[in-house]
Amino acid sequence: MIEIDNLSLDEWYTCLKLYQKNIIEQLVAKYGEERAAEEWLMARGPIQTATFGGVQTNKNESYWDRFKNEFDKLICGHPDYENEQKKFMYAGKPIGLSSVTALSTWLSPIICVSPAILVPAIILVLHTTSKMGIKAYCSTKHFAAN
Amino acid sequence: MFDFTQITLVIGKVDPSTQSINMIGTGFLVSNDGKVVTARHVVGNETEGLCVLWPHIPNINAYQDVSDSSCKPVSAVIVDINPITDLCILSTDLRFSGSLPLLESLDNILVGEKIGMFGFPHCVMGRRVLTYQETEIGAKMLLETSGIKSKYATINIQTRPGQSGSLVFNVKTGAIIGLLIGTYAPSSGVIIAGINPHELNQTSYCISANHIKEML
Repeated sequence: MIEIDNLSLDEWYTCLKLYQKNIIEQLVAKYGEERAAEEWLMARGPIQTATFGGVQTNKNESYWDRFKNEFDKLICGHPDYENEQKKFMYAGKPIGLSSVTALSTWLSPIICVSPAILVPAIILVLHTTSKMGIKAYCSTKHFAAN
Repeated sequence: MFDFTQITLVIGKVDPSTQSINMIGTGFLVSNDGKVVTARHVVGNETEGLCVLWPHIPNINAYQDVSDSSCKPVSAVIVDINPITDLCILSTDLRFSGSLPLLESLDNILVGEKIGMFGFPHCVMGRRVLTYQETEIGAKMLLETSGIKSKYATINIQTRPGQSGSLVFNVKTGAIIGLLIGTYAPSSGVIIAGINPHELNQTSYCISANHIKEML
């Protein structure tokens, strides 16, 4: 099974730009870690704003649900991510700071969002999962059949 | 008058079915090595097919031929998104050897002072006309996203589709003080021909350029 480095939130924050860290710290203080990750991924700028121009996007699309589902599959040994899981296990190192970029690059095309937006959400769920322990975390996950 | 013709750009997206380019909004250069800022809602979430169009006129006084659909696209990749402020940084192969205007906070301009804006109104309808507008700062505001407050200004002018991402600057100093984000339009509960009536009688607002600077 994949393992995650036992790092403090401050250590995970070193993956972030300063402005991201400032925002994420405020979101975590207000909502807690997992909800902060969701707020970050789902935010679309100030409310009651009509925007002028841009690509058509489905405003009801839950990138958070997709992100969580794919993250859980990767961490909890789902066969969809067999190759990625093997890479982590062959490397012989737990998922840590140096893995965050690779995770965001893998997940980006599946969730259909730019890797740039995923990094803060990834570090928050990695920290939450490592605190709980992967076995305990994955024991609560049940994936729908493909 | 400051002329930002060479740094204000159309943001485009390639339509994979026709290989033509749809113009989706405005952006502007913020670094000599090709970084471009725009509104996140202009580019959406996916980087594929994004581009910026090379400036098509030498200065703002040139006649812009609206029948000329030729363009020089340059590929763009999303390198940073701040979903809280609705800002996005793109990386492009554009190189700019001139000096770029400073990025300043709205703290440096007073309500009532004149601002200028360069953008591409109606570009989403296929019309490429770089347009200069002048107005004043009407108010400074703190607007909230997920409980996080950021600095914005109401600008005393109505804006059009395609202008999101426009460069907003202090006409006295030439410093960039903001980027056009959108307009106040609470839900009216009624949609007529796909339009919320509140969007027709709008006040526009821009986000402070210090929020751009912190992403660079």
